Amino acid sequence: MPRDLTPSTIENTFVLKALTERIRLDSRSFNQLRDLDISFSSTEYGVVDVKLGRTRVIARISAEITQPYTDRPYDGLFIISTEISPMAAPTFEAGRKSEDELVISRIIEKSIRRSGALDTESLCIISGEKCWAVRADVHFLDHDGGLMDAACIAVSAGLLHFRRPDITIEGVGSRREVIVHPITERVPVPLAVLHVPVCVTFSFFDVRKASSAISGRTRKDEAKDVDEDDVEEEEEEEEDDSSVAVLVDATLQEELLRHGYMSVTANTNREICQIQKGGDMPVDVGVLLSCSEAAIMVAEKVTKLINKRLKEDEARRNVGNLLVEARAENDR
Amino acid sequence: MSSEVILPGDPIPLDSVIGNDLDDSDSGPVIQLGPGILHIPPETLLPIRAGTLTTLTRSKPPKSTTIYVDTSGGRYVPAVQDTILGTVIGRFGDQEKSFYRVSIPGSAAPIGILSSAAFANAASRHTRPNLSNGTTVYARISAFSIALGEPELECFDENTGKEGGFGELKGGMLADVSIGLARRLLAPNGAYGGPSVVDALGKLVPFEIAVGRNGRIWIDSESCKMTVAIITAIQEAEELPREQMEERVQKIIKGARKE
Amino acid sequence: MASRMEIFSPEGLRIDGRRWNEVRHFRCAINTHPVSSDGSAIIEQGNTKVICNVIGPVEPTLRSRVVPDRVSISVKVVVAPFSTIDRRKRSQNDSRIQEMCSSIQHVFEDAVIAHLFPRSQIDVNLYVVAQDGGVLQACINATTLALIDAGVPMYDYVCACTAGMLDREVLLDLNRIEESDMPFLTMATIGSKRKVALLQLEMKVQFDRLEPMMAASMSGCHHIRDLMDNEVRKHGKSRLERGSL
Repeated sequence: MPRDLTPSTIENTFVLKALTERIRLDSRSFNQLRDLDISFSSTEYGVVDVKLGRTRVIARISAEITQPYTDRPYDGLFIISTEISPMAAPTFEAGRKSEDELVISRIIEKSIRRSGALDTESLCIISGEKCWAVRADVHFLDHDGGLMDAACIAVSAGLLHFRRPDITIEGVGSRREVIVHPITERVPVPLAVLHVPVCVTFSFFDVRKASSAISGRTRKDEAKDVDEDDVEEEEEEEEDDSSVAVLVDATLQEELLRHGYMSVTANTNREICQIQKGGDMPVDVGVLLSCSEAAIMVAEKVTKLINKRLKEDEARRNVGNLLVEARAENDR
Repeated sequence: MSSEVILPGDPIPLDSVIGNDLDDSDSGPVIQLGPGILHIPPETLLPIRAGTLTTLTRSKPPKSTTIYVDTSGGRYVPAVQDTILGTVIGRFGDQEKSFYRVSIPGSAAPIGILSSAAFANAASRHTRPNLSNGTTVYARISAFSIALGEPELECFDENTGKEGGFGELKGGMLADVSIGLARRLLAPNGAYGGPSVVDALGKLVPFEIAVGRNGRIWIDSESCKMTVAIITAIQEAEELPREQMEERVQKIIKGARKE
Repeated sequence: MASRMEIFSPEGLRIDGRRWNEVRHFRCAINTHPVSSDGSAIIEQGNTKVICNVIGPVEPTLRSRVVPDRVSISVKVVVAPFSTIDRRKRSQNDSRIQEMCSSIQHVFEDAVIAHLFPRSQIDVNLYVVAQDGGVLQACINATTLALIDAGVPMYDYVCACTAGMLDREVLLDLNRIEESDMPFLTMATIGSKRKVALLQLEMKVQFDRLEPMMAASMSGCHHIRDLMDNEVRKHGKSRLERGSL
C-alpha cells in the first residue's frame, strides 16, 4: 500500500523520542545501510537492478555513435536521464518535474558526470566527426527512501558492467570509415571508468524538538545568546552534537519526518565528489565533516560489493574461459 | 471454517462449503454472501475477486453460512461500521457547528468528515474536544456511499454512547499493515483458526493496540523499544505460518527486553 | 584555462591581487527599491552584482502554496542576459537556476521565524545583474538583507561565502576565473556560530582538503556577516536621524 505523505503528530513525536534513545523503527543502528542487493542482467551488458531495502532502481546503459559537440571535438557524450514516474510513488506526476526530482537528477548529474567518473575523451572515435554517446537511463521502480543513493549505485555499477561493441577505423583522411563489430563477432570493450562514485544521504533530526512541541521555540532561545564569546561557543558545540541525530540511508518515513539532510558522494580514493546540504536545519560544521568521512567508509563497502557482484557475473558469463581467449588486448 | 484459493470465474464448490446436511432440513441452508462474490439469479454464484474463499458457519440463523473472498492487498474501500485510524488535517464551519477533515490513509475515499459533535460528552460546546492538525483519531464510519463521496465519521461507541476507546490517540506509534491483516486482527477470536499475533504478543508483554480497517495500527507500550518490537512482530508475523509466528514473536520480544 | 602561476603567484597573490584569505570588495545597500517592494537590497561582491526584492508576507496567490502552519517562501532568480561576457538569454527552466531557487528557498524557510505567518507567502525576486563568480552566495546575502529590510523576523543573518582549493592552497571568495579552475564549495551559515545552513560542493576534492576549505569559508561567512551588520546599522541610524523610522 502506498504511504500517505502527511505524517501525523504521533509519528513525529514517536520517531524523535525513539531517536533520543537511539532506536530506529527498523531496528537499524544510525550508521547502518539497509540490505543492498545488486544484480546484473544475464543477457545484456549494462543493465543493473539495485535494491536498497524496499527501494528499487534499475539503470540501463547504452551507447551509440553520433557527432560530438562542435566546441568539444575530443569529447564523447554522456547523458544521464533520471525521470521519476508515478511508478516509484503516486506522489510523482508523469511529465511534470517536481522539486524532489530536480534535486535527485542534479545530485546524480554532479556525482557521476561532473566528477568525471566516465572518461569522455575515451569515447572519441574521430575527433570532431564521430564519437560514442553513452546514455544512462535510470528507472525508479519503488520508492522507500534513498532514491538518489540507489540511483547513483545503479549508474556506477552499470558503467562498470557495460561493454560497447568494438570498432575499427578504415581508410585515411576524409574517407575514414568506422566499422562496428557486433558483440557476437568480437569481444565488446568496457568503458573507461576512472572512479566509482557512491552517493550517501545523511538525514538530520533535531532531537531537541522532541521535548518542545512548538517548533522554533528552541531556536528562539538559541538566538538570544548570539553574541557570546568563544569559550561559551565551545560549550554550545558539545550540546549541538547531542541535539542532532544523524541517520544514514533513511527510509521514506524517516525522509518525510527529517529536519534536514546532506548528500555526500565519495569514492574509494578518499575523494569527495559532491556535497549537497540543502538549506533546512542548520547543523554544526563538525557534524558535516564527520558525515563526509562516514560517506567514504560507506563508499568503500558499496564498491566492494559492486566488484564482488561484477566478478560473479563475469564468472557466470565466462563459461569455458572463452572470453579470455577471445579478448583482443593482452595482459601487460 | 475452511479456505482455498479461488480466482474470478471459478466455480464455487458449494457442496464442500455447505456440507452434506442438506437432507434433514426443510427450510434449506441459508447462505450469506460477503464481498467478492456475485449472485447471478437464479442460482449462480460467481467469484469476482482473487483470494481465498472463506466460509464462516454461524449459529444464528441456524445453519447459516457466510462465504466471501478474502484478500489481503488492494485499497481500502470504506464501509459503514468500519473502524479507521485517521489524521486530522483541517477544520471548517463556525463555532456552533464545526467539522474536522480527517485524512484516511490508504482509503479509496481519502478524506472523511468528523463533526465536532460526534464525540462522547459532546452535548455542550464546551466539552467538545479541540483537535489540532496532525492529531490521530480512532473513529467509526457512520455513513458512506461511493456516490456521496466523503465518509462521515463518529468517535463514540454506538451502543453505549460512551467514548469506548474512540477519539484522539495520544502517545504510541502508528504503523502500516495490509488491509487483510487489519481485518484479521479485528475478526472475532478464533475466526481465522487459532490465536492471532496479538494474542501471542499479549501473553508476553502488556500493550495497547487500535486497529483501523484502512490498514493502519496504533501501538502503545511501556517503552519506545518495546513499541518498535511489537510493530515489527506484527508486520513480520503476517508472512509466517502460525507455528513459526509464535516462535518469531517470542524471539523479537525477548530481544527487545534484553537490552 | 589559466595556469597556476596566474591564479596564485609564488608571492601569495591572486589574479586580482588579493591574498588567499581576503574577500572581494563588498558593497551593499538596503531599501533600494522602496516603492516596488516591501524590502530590497543590492549586493556587490567583486564584480558580481545582485538585486533582491522581497514582497510579503502576503496571502498566497496560488491555493496550492498555502501551508497551514507556516509561511512559504517562493524564490525566483532572473539572470540578466548581459550578466556575462557572452550575451545569452537563460531560460527560467534551466535546471541550475531552478536548483539555486530551491536551495535559497529552503535556507530561508528555516531562517525566518516561519510560524508567525501561517497561510502566507513571501516572494523573493533576485536579479543577477552581473556575474563574476559566487552567484549563489551573492543571492543568499542579498536575500538576507532584503528580508531584514522587509521586517521579516529571522533568527539571525544568513551569510554565504565560497572557498576553493588550488593544489594545497585554500582561496576564499572566488571570482569567475578562479571558480572555473578549481574545486570550490559554497557555504551559508546562520549567525556568527558554526551552524551551517547550506553546503554545496560540485567538484571532486580530496577529503583531507575539505576541512580547511570549510574553515576558510566559515570565517568568510562571519566576516560578511559583520559587513552586512554594519550596513544595516548604518542604514538604521541614518533613517533615525531623518526621523523616518
